[in-house]
Amino acid sequence: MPMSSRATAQTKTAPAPARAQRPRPKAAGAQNVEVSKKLPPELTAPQQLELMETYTRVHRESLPLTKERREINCLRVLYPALFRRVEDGDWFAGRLDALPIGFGCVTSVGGVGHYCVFDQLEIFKQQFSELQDQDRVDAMYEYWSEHDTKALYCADVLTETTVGRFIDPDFPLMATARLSGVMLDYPTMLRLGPSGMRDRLRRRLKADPGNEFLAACGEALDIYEQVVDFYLDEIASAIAGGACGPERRRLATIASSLRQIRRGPAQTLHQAIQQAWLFAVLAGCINYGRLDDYLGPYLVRDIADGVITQDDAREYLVSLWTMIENRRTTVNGRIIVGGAGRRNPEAADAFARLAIEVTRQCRYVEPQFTLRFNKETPADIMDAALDAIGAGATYPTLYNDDVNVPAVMYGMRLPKTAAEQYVPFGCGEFVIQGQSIGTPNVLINLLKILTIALNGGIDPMDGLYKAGPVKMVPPPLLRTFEEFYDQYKALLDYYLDLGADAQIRGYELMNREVSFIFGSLWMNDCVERGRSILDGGIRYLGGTNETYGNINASDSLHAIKRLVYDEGRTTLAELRDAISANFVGFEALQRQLRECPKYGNDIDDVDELANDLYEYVAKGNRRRGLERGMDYFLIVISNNQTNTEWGRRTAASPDGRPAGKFMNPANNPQGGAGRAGPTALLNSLTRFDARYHGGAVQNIKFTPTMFNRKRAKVKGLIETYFDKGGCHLMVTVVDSGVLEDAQKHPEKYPDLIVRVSGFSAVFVNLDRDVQDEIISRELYGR
Amino acid sequence: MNQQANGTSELGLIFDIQRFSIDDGPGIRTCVFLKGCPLRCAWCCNPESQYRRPESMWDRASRSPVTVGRWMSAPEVMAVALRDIDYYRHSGGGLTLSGGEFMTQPDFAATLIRLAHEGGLSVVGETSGAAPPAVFNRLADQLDLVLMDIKHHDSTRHRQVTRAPLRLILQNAAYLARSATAHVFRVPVIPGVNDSRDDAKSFAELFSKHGIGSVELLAFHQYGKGKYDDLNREYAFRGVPSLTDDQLLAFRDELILCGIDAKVAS
Repeated sequence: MPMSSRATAQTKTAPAPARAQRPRPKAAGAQNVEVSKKLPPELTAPQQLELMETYTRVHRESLPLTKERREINCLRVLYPALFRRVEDGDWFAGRLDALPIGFGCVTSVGGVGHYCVFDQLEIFKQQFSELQDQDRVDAMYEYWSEHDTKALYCADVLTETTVGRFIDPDFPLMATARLSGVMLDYPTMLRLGPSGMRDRLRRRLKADPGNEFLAACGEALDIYEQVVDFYLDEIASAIAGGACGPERRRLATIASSLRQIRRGPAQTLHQAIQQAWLFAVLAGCINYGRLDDYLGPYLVRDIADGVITQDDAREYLVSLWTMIENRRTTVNGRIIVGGAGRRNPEAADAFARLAIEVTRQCRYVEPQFTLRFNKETPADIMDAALDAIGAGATYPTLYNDDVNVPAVMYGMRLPKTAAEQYVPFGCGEFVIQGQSIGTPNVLINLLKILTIALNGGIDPMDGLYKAGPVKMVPPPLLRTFEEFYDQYKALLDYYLDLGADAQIRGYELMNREVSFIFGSLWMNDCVERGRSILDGGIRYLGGTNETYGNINASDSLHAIKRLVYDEGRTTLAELRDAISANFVGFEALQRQLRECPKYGNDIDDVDELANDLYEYVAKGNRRRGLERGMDYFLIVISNNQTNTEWGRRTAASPDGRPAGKFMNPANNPQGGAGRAGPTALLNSLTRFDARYHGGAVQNIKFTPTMFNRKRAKVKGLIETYFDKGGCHLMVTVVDSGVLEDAQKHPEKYPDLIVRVSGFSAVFVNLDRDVQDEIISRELYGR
Repeated sequence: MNQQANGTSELGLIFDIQRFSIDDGPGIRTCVFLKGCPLRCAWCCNPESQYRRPESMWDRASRSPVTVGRWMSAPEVMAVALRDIDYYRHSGGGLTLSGGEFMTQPDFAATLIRLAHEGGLSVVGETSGAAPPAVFNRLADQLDLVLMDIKHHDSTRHRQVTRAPLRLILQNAAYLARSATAHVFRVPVIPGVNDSRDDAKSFAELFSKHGIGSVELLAFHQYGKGKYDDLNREYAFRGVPSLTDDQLLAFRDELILCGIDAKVAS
């Protein structure tokens, strides 16, 4: 059997990709974050059509059944059918395709719950020339427009002018249904194995007979076994077909591991990776947790026992990294190493060292390789991390446990032991591995809301009223800065309420439709409680709200305070008119606004106002979540390209920013505004108390000359920032002029990776204005 | 406190305060650039530093003219410098006085040094040595480290390319070479001005005569080019290429062969 007929796409060797055009939404739930292209599915188009039809039929027939039964019936259609054969070079089995219709928990691989990704289904349909086939697709489209989980959510939650779908940048608030950032309890999984879990299920079922969820968990393990058997058969026929040499050895290793982990717990590094991978994929997880904690002991023991060599282990990791890279989630694929709360720090550090080496060698966009560190982290690990960054790997991204663990204890109201298990996912949100859900299902644009508050409730961008029932006083009547700020806060309150409600509503709706059984299987305390994740099973039900335009908004407030109220150089009414006119005819005023001091320069009153707004929003959001029964609901100042996309539909703002221009990235100043050097920038960044957010991305960009040749001083800079309370740092090292040149000659830079903010991407694949935003960020060094 | 008596009411003319300054002196430093210089080096990379008065310069970022040169009190300058004290402590850095020639504002510089020391900061001075010996000696004695440039070995040629006499500079250099203050002598190696093998030999002779045993070499660069445009001034070194590494190393080797411990500055 030809195992190598399909090429494995790797970033390093892929030809220069065409600029990815993001499809516009056509139907509810159509829009996914997808910058990168995935491998095409292994099944032929007619096979895919048939599979999706079967899925649709089974879903329809299961409608009268319980959601657990329906989910299992549907999963049986997908698995193992969608698993791909072992790629040439892979050390592990378990590559999985996603079709436009299926089951999942996130939008970046397939969709959420029972899903249909409508725009992809439209594209899929174009492969068929026969009218009859196209009708078959249309029939599914019609069925799913009534049953897709996200479509149901959108129909329920979205409004005419205030709450839009993700991503519809005309709205001040965007909301979506998804279960992002699920990080399984891998340590327990590896310790128990399927057999241990079956024992636990049997015990629980004895106490709670008739519990549909627990019964479904048992069936999920049956499906897992079927997937293992599928691969054992595949490998047997490949070997019978004459696979030889290194390929034969790889296949034999995989088969041997599969036999052990089919029922039993993992006993070697290879088995552990294989088991964790299969369950992650089946659960729809695209983040992989603290690998050094759960794999380190296997690594050390295997090497000590002579089971494998260090080179074998390196090959395994390269293969795992490649499989993660090929899943192409764009904003996820997190692997976390280092930090507090690992059971065997020495073994974990051995794994971390190897992982840093592999990351540096691979230079992939994913995994998003993350280093947690604290004062106890060995110096050689920190140095290896900086070397990898300096070599242009863009990873690891750095998280300071000395700040984050206490912050998480407060923010999520957790004991230290739980807080120590925090892991960043996606663009920087924290969850507790195996214990919490913290999906960012709402996104709020603080700047857009400010322009609306300034304009009597009407969005200057499109002329629509977006203030709901909040009483809006026109500018001439706002006589003090406090009166204006209060009006803005009142409108923020309204949107924070909408956001918290939308988050809760999403949980209720997803729980009505699905149980996320594979995820629930390995998340605490679902099995113990006999309840799925969103049905009361998860130990900590949290959530996050992504905030955008934070700094544009606070700089705008400062400019208003100064020019209108302190110095009287303009009036609020004139400012409103200037904003509405996008500064046409108000050029002198725009210049004055631009010249006002900006956040990011270590200026006390500017930074204090930024912090005041931050705390107002962060605390208000958190309080609303707690009032509605969540265990935590925190803002995240994360970022992807949404600051640019939302900026396109955000009016001109009082910080001097013209209409349509990108907004500031994450917690950083607007490009060009931070002009006082890196110490000033970092001092501003440390202003925000980390206890009130659930992750805030902090970017800094150096030239290789500065970062590598002045390493001791740059290291001193970074260490001091962390000593001063810096929670995170994402360092990009890129030569001056390279990004500009890549814009002009994308064909020369097929694998130039940049950190967009919360994620890395191949630069030339990004939209032009997203590229512009990245270029605009201050670059330190010559 | 009585500012008059304390000397802190006096104003200095500053054209830039550069935080995270990492090229001059140990650790992370804040570099205060004082405006005004007795030299007029044709290759100067800070031409806006030369005149001892505020002047207009084009600003590319705001696309408008701005005034370069601002009168500030020493406490005002210190308030900026102290914002990065944690970085200095971590890295062994501090304050650097540069210019222009900071010794053209001696009393203001002395106050800055005193305030910095009171705040626990080390102070590095970057000088051309073109100052009256009394001023030079007093300030050099107060500093923790002096970085002093010597631009040419020949007095006639020195006057030609810097429009200032060499004699005074050498007198100050000799003082510094014997002083207890840590110091580094530096030579900016400028194409066509002082970069030949013979120049190296002559430098070596001069250094030996004045008790200077080691020097650092600074390579000419074109980073200041745009500033001449922004000041609307002629730039004599337009288009002149920087020295190659090989040329710079050859120059260094010549000095070493003549008994001077020379190295290329990082």
